[in-house]
Amino acid sequence: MKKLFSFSFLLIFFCLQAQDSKIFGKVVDEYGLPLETVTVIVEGTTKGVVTDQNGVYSISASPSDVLVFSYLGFKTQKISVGLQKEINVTLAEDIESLDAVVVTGYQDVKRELFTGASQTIKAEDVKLEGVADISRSLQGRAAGVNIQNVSGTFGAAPRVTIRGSSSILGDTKPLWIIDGVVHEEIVNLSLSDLVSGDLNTILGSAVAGLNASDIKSFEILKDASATALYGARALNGVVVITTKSGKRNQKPTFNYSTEFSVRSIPRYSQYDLLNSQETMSIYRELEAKGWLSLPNSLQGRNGGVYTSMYRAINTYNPSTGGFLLENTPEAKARFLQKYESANTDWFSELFKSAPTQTHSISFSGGGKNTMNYASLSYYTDGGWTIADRVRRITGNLRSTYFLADNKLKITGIMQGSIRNQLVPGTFDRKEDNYTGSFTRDFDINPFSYALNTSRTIRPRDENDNLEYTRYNWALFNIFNEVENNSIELNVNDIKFQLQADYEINENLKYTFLGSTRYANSNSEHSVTENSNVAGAYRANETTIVRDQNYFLFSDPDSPNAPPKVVLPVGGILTTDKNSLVTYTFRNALDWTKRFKDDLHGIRIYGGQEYRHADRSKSKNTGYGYQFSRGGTVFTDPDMLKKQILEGNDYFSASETRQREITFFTSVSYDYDKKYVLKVSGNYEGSNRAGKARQSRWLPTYTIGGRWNIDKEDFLVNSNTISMMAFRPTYGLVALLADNASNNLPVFRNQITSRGNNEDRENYINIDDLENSELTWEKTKELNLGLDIGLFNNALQFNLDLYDRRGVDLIDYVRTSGVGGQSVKLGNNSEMTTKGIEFQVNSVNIKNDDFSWKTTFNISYFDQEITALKQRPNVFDMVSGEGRGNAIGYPKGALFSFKFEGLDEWGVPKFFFNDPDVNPTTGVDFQKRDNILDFLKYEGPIEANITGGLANNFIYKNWDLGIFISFAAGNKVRLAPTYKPIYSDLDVFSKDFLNRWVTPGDESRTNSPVIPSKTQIHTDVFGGRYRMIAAYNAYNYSTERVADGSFVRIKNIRLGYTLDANSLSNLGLSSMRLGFNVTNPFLIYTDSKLNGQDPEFYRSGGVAFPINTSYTFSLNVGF
Amino acid sequence: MKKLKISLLTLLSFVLFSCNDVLDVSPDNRTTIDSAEKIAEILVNAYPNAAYASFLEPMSDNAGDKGPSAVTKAVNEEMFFWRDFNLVDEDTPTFYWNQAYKAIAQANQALVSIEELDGGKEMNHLKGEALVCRAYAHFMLVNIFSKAYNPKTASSDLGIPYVTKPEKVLLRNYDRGTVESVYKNIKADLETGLPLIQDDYYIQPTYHFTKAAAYAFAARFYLTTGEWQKVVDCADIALGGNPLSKLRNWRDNYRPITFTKKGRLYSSSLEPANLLLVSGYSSFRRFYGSARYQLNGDKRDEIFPYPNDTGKAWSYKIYGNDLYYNIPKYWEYFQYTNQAAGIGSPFVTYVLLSTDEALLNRAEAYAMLGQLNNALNDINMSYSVKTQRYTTSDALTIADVNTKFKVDDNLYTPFYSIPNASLPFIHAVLTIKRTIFYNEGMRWFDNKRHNMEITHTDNNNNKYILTKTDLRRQLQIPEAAQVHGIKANPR
Repeated sequence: MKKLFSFSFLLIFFCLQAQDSKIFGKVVDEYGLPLETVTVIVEGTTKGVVTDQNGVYSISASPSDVLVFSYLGFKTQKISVGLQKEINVTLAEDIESLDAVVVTGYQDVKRELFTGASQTIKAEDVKLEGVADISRSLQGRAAGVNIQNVSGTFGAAPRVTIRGSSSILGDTKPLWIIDGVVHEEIVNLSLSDLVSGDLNTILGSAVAGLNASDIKSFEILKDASATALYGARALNGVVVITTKSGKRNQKPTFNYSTEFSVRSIPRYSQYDLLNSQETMSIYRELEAKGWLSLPNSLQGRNGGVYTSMYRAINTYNPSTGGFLLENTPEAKARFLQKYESANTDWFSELFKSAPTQTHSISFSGGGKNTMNYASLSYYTDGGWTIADRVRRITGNLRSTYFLADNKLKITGIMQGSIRNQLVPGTFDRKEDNYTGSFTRDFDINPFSYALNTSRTIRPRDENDNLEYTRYNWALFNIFNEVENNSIELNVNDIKFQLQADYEINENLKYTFLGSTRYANSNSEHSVTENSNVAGAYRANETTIVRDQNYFLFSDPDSPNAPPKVVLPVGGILTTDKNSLVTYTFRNALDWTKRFKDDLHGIRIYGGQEYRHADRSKSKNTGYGYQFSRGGTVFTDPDMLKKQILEGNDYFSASETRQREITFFTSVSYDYDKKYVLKVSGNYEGSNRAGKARQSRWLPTYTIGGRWNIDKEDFLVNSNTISMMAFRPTYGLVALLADNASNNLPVFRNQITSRGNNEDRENYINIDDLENSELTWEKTKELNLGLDIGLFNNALQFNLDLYDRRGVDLIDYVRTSGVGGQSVKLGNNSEMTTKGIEFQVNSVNIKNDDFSWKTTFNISYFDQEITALKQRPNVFDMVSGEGRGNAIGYPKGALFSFKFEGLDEWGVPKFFFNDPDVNPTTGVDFQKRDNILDFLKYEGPIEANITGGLANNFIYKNWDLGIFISFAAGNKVRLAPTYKPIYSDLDVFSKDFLNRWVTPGDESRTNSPVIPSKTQIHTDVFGGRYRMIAAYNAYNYSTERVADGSFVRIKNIRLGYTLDANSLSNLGLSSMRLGFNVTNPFLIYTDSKLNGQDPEFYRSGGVAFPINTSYTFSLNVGF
Repeated sequence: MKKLKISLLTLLSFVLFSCNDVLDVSPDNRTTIDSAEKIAEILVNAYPNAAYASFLEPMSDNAGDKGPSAVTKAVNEEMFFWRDFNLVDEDTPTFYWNQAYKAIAQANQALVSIEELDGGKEMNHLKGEALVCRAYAHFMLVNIFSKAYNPKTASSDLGIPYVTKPEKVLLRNYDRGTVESVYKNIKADLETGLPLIQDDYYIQPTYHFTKAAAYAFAARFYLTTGEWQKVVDCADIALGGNPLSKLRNWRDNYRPITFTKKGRLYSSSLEPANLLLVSGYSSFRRFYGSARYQLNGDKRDEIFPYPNDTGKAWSYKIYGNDLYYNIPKYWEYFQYTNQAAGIGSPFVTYVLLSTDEALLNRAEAYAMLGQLNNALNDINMSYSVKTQRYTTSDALTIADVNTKFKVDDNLYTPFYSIPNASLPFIHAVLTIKRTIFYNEGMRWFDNKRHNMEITHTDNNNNKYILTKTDLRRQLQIPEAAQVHGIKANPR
């Protein structure tokens, strides 16, 4: 203050002596390059000159004058002449600091005029080194954005929900916008698809094809006002990604960065699994209870050590004239002894510590009328397990040209990526409603395998040869299988974009945007002749096996003939193709004007957009492909007959087409930048329902206000409060639900399901009856926001309260059936979500040597379904996959069977609120009536408290960041480990040591008995299926649920940046060395989880959990 | 400047005009109905793809209790005790209700599509099939969920909703109407449709209402309304010349072959006796023999006496022991969705209409018309192919029928009175029908039509009686339908 005073005093002093003199100087940019044609004028006059090609100017001015230096793309500078003769100026580029502008994808709006709730995140602040998918790095970074890493596999999308999502059945994913254009996914995945572990999940991530270091920033648009212009697809929020661009008049800079990342291998100590000795003792009990008998093990479908033993007993050894193993108790004990001490560490067998590497080089620069940015990156992951591998190349080219006196700006963008990925051979999982389980054929996911396979099994024998067990009646060894059953995925993705901005006059700007993207994925699932799958198709060693093995073919035309092998040679080659073609065109006009001494400001924005997305997918399964014989195809015609008769399509193809047209406008008015009012409207049409015209078009609107309180007289001079704004908004957002499109009846062609192929014919099914009332899912949202900045914004608070009322939400409804469709989809549900979001940014200490910044955010919401016609069945309610919906509870709630202890046989009992229902065998996963009477509500499956805490320290050249993310309020299911029937392949958790063994134990333990064979087959327990259902119910009971809350150290990073001196010695412009630990550990999880990651769904297939990684990074600029 | 504005305006207006065309693009591979062939394909699905034998057989007097060692199946047990049953899975009344209305919706869509395509005479065959399909599904529903037809009370007896238009809203209210109005509608549809039926356009005729099938259905319909001459006329058309060659020949064709082959042949499209087949979503094949309340020892002796009334043995071989007594009539086609886990959808082919039924319906009508010789001919014809080593000398005479099928005149009390002379013949027809159509659900319709009192005896010899006026003879309207305003049957 004092300084300012004396400075003004001096100024006045010089003014008194005003006299014109020649002033000269040079204007340069930050890199010291001369700037040509910079305008230099004397303020308040018309007197002015421009700089020459060397950036030199000369002008006459008096000491009291102020010179104004202005140049497009740079910040205008004003300099008082005073006594100076030579005034050299360095102009800074006019990039408004990211925080000051909100990039909505349509418009860039000054934060002080923006009414909506949004949050800007700089990519460099959140980037997780060693994690190739940048969407994962948003976890815990933005209030109200919940990111759950349901699978850590490359390409798999995390589950992202903003403000608890607004759809009951439909998509909960936010809309991803990259450089102003909607980024479509190659395949549309629902929430339960996302956690399925199927091959498609690794096509789920919208940003898998983006190089993380190309991204400049994220803008997360949360409320109706912020997403207004996105209209009908913004129901679940919008994430806007802006990629990097070059700068004008910038010295060319190259940047090379590299990351080496090593991942930790899981350990048995993390999981509570029994070792081989303990496991063997359980096998002995199984044997005693009649399970592992010779005939069953020898002929049964799957088998481990006991099967190997019986095979040895049963195999004649011609050299000795006896059998491989004597059938004596001593010989048997000796045989089993070998395996009892095996204690195989499957994790170290199947996991590798191969590093991932990222190399990325970028170029950025610009001339007088150009801006360029280009980058290339290569990511390679040698595989965390023996069955996976990833390679990805991305390329990015972006050029901007300024033409016609800077009035026309043309930007061209080309982004492409190529990805090659190897994953374990995976078939899609299927749901069995009857016994309440999910199943997957031939699952060889190494992570699931390690957790689900007995430690008594050895991958190799004493002579280091592969040792086989029995699986699906055929030989199985995981190493052999991984080699012979794999999927190779190739994804090519390329985008071209052109944007033209033309300044028609100083107030009016026209923008054209055109973008097109071609993406296709191609996967080949190779099941070679040496794989277990092919083996299963050939297993017919005995008549018992032959009759059991449904991979063989029973010809209905010869009813009395035995089942036969129909894959006598070769393997199976399945190809899967997905392709996506999108076009987007946009025309927009933007008119801005300030009136009456800048007191009134008006901005009118409007335009039209067309979006076009065609997806196609095809699949072909080729039987009898001989991998070892140059790919010669040798197919048994009966294999096709088997497939056709069983209703399998051996090839298929389908297409979907999406057309959307939007007209949008927004008008904002401000009075002295103090009071802002903004009204937006969007009118959107879609082809979702084909030719049906009713409810094709949907209008949405929002109204928002902002009061910049800091500009009021009573605050303007405050020393404490440097910024304060209040933002109330209200609006309607909507979603076009993909799942219901029957404004006209939906007809689909099918083939009749008749046993004899000769009897079949084409038919047209009415898939959905017409629903003339079908309309869009809508949410009305009220948002109240408050932003406060203290001490020159060293401390900032943002608080948002919202109330969202979803109406016309689409869900299933069971009808009278009289119309001909007993279950329909329609608008019949309602849901309200109330939430609060809070964020603090604080610069705790800042001086030349040391700075400490903290950001913290937390959000909470309370969600309740208020109207619902659907009646989910028990399985939906207890499985925890997001389908448990009931009035009065949040969406996707988790319920449990109420466990009521073990009965006198050690079998679990449950509460059914009905004396007539047997407490064990009365389990009915398909029941829908009054199920809430006996199920217990556990909680939502989605965390409703989420947040993060980041601390960043800089000391001289060192920087350190520690980031903690947390989530709470949800429940998770423990992995389903209990079964009534076990085999000698099974692995057991420590709970089993405490299992029910003798009558009376029921008072001591809740861990159910291993039933004996006779128990399973007696009527008391209703037979095998009822027993399976009862044990599955135990897996889905109050006993098997845990708190899903966690506090996780997400990232610790340490960096060293070279100072200017060292840099110039090295001839570099920048250099940083970094060391990162990502996901080092969980600070808190429920101890019941026993090492199970609360975020991860252990669904097998291609799903791997997120892992701890240690990354070294180097970044060099020159 | 001006140019730009003009071109912008042109662009905008062009965009606006073309909007709706662009948005007409079909979002996926759905079909549009634009040809007669496609209407025909809609009609392929206008038949109820569901079982009724699974829940009607245990209600009928064919069911006995095999005791607790037999397999318990909810639908089988609940229906044996005539309880209201709310499960919606396959083989339940609700499932049949849903599938029958589904068939009706397909038929109604076909009729609407014919109109939309301005189909004239060249689409009459489609119209015919659609109307008969619609009549059939409603007829089955009204017979299951409403009281047996009785012209004296029909105008006040609760019917079932008769649907003639596709549903266009999410939830529509329907009125049950009366048994009279339902029958009137069925009759109108049937009689309009019958003459329009053409056989030559069917790709798989046994799965469609061919002329023979449609008339066989008409014969069944007139049998319920008591229009005897029409029964005879329709059955004549259904049977055509040389009916004997079209009957199911157990004596020659079934008796010698294996269990599996019998099951296959029974519902094969190659079997001339099968007039109408449907492949229903059903797991009945898995419990038709094993379920507890099916054919027990007593019922076996009652339904398959040795010898039969010709003095020779039935050609039917009863398989299994006392827990599994059965005759193979079904086979399952399992459509896998997940082979390794054995998950998929089971389908069973059901015979909805057959020559055997048409013949015996004609016999019953002849008896009611007093044409006892004609009735006798049909009865003998029926016996001839179902009795082992049957020769013409085994044929019954009128006197044989009168003595062997003498019956208490309170057993059958339909809405009309049965002349004394006809009664033994009626009894003969119904008795043979009971044997021939064992485990096909048909017996229940005869139980109901003739108002027969039914006694079920459980394993402990407890008797459960369904009286002639018992309200439980009308199955309860599905729970979901009651929720949406369809009036429940009184209890």
